[in-house]
Amino acid sequence: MIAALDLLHALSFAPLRARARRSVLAMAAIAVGVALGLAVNLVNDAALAEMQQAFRTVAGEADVRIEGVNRAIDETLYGKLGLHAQIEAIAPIIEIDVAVAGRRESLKVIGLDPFASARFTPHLIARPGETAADPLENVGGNRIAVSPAAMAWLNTGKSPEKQLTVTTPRGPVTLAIAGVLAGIESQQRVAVLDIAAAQALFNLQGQITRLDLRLLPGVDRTAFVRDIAADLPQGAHAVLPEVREQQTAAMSRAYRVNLTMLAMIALFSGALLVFSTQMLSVAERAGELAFMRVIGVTARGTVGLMLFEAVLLGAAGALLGAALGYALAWAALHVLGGDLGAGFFHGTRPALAFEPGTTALFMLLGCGAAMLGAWLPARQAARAHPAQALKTGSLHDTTGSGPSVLAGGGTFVISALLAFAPAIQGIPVLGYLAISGLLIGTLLLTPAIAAWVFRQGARLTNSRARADTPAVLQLAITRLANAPAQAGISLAAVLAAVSLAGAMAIMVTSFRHSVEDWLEQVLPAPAYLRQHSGGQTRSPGFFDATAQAAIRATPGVLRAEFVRTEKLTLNPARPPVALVIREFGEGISIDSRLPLVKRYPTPADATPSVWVSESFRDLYREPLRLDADGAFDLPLPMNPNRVAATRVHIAGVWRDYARQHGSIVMNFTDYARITGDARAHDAALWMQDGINAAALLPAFKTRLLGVPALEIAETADVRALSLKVFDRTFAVTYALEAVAVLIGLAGMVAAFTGLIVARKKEFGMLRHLGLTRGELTRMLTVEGAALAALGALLGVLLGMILAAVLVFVINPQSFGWSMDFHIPAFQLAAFSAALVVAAAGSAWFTARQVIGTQDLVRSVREDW
Amino acid sequence: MLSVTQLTKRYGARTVFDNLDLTIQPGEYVAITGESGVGKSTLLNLLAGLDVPDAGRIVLDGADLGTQTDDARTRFRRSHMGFVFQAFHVLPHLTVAANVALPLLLQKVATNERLERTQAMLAAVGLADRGASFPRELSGGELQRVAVARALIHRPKLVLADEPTGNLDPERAAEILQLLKDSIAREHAIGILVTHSALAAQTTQRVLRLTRDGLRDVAA
Repeated sequence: MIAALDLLHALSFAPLRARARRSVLAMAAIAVGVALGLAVNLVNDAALAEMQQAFRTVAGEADVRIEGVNRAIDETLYGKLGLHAQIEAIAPIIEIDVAVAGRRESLKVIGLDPFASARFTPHLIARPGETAADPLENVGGNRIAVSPAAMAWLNTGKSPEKQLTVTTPRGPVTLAIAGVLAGIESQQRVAVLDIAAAQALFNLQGQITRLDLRLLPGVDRTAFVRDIAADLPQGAHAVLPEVREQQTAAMSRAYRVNLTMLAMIALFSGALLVFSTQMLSVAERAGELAFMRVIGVTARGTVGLMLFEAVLLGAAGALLGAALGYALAWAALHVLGGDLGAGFFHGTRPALAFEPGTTALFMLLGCGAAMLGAWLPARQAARAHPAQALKTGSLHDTTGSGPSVLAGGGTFVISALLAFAPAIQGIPVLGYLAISGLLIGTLLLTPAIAAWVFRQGARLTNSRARADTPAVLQLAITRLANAPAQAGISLAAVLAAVSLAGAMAIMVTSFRHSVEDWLEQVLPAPAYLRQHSGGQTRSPGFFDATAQAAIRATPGVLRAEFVRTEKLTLNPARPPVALVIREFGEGISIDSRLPLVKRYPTPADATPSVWVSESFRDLYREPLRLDADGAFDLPLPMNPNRVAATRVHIAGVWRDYARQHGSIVMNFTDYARITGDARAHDAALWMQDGINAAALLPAFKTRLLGVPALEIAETADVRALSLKVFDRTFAVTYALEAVAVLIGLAGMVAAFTGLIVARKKEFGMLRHLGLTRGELTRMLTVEGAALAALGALLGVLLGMILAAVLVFVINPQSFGWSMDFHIPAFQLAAFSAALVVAAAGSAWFTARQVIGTQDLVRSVREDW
Repeated sequence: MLSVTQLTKRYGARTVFDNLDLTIQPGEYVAITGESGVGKSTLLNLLAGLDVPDAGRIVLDGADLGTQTDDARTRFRRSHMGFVFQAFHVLPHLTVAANVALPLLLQKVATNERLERTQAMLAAVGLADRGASFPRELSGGELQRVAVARALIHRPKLVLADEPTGNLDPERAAEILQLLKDSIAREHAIGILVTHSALAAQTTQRVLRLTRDGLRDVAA
């Protein structure tokens, strides 16, 4: 055992230590990849755990939930279902997000019947000791009990807040805080009040938003949900609570997968670094490895030895990466929040937890990446002819052409075909595989491409017509042309980094441009009038016909178009879609208001038209059979508290970046005619020349006395805020991109440094022949710059192909929306130029260090 | 003429040689022998201008190497010296012709002249038809012929051959030694052959032995 350890120490630890700088760099790259991947998943796991706990806080222990297609259901259903033979208990709930005075974010308010809900959500019922008064009094009248997180959120001064003011359709209402619900363990901001009070406060008389059901023992829940559908009125449906819970995870899944893929890019760069480290190690240890083969180490043993070294690097990197991952996750949760700035998980404060499974998975991935990187060098070491290596001091032919063009070309073509495959369970697995394959295929093709490119260069520099070409330039280019395998090793890291970072840059730029264009179209008016909503998409109150007329008649207003937004659950298994009811104004073309990506012919009959979003089309194509005739039954809310299905025709598909779960746009006139409800939530305002929208707010308040909490949003501010949110969302992407590039650059520097060291004898000979140190340094600087330039060029070209896969395959499959393709030419050119300068600089620095030494001269001598 | 006077070289406290004198006339071919570690390589480095002496002078063709900067010595070496190494040291990524032409390339000789002289030199060393080959396609003897051609193509005043036959079989070694001797004579250059081999040394006009006490003639 000790002998074996000694052998491993001599054969593996010692070589790694001897190449400490490169080993540390490779280890660090693996660590960064593991850390980023682990951190992204830890943060997401923490956020999901918190969201699920928050969900259970509100949902309680129900077996089945009855929900409305629209925002509410008729409360008479409560009484009817109470008599159902399979239902043991039932509780009515009102759940609503309300705006709180002085706060930008909303507060979730739950109206419940304490007696009925005690069996479902006991933690929402105030217990003696939690408040000073009678528990049943806590949620009566205008008194509410709040969760600890809500209390902490509300407390701004030293003493606890005693009351809060919420926006209701009737105006601001001040509620007394009767106590804190200590039983709520999640960090969700929740306030609880009596259901009757909630109905009165929020104009929901006769309505509830949900019924929680407890079934009798032995009743099959799934069968119950299926059977009860026939007994429910139109506009209500039954759903298992876990379906809603799973939607929470699904909400951020695509984003998490995207970030994990970015982390995997860093890990892949790490594997490339291990590859170049081990490739150079093989070159430098040619004699040693050949000698071991001669004294009895088998080819398999050589592979094992090289892989063992890689595992050592990978394990050390994985361990370091795991620690770094937890630190990053902790920092990200505190600075960016559980959604890393993406905005999925508002109102939660997730806590970091130790995840042994996730940690082990990413550590294994780190080791796997290291082994993957070492596989090819190990095979090369094992396949070399030991006698020849002992004689020449080289295990492999430096002028070899590298992997076959067929392997690279084949991988590239197959991967390109994979990009056309559909998503698997909503995740673009094959799209990501295509990206990996395209990258690997290009890396395999790189030596052949490098050979061709530099041969053309050599032909040019060495031609008779160019007799004045400097010798160092000729030497540099000729060497690159005739040592393509080594050029490939040096190029690999920089090509991978540039292509992946370039692809991300193109994708983000494409997305940002598309979002800007989209904002221009969906927010055509210079300002919008609405009621303060506490960050929610829908105003708490309406502008009725009188209010709409008053707004139009306000001096200074040139034109007003009204908008209403409703939520409709078309499929209980999916989150609700948004129904956007819009006025389009006389003579206004639909194209100027909606970014249409597809138009359909209008039918001859009077079927109302709707325009659906891309994600709606993708999500509901099968359940609603949208392809059959372009029409489907849309359940529209009718007064009072019922829903009626209306046949609508799809006139077009539009691009909607605001609603991932789908949206439907309907003409306001059609909606009002069908439902008899002409109320609106928002008003898009065009002012007369020289009139500022904000200046009109007092006039609106005077004219709209019955409408509370009016506010005006300037479109320019909304656009700026939207783009700020966009940039914040992609901040993590930029950070990961930067890391990938740095690792790539470090990889190229490491590979190039190793090659320079390995070429000592060549430089020693050139010094003998009369090349000055300056000329040798210049030669290597030219080599470094030429390699980086080719790497950057190939990287940018491949980046464009990868970006096309991201833009046209992965994004539509992940989020359901399309975008226009924009190439940030200046950004890419500047980035490539910086990379070439950095590579040339590092080559110059390394060359000066190596060439200045006297052992360069000695290296050509065989006898001392 | 190569004139070495009062040459002294030390590495720290160790003196490699002290007050060494040597004079070699153009066209003269000299062998230097000696035990390993006695300082043969140090002497070669000094003669090549790759290292500087602690004292003494090395004058080749009227130029005092000791007074020149490293870059000046390098440029002088480029035009005035040729080298043949034991391990050949031809560049694997250059063709045979390109390897031979390297010194001319460094001296910025016009392309046409470079090609003509290269072809002529390849013919002179018996490799006229191997110019387009890469070093990996050549045998050890052929590689050393390439090295000899490279050492002589720019008509240097001094040719330094460091154990040029150490990696060759006796037959190939004899061929190379004869080639070197003929080539040096043809170019009227100064030839210095550093070797352990008595047979190799016998091919030169004069044999010197380097010991701790200095250089001394051992045979003609």
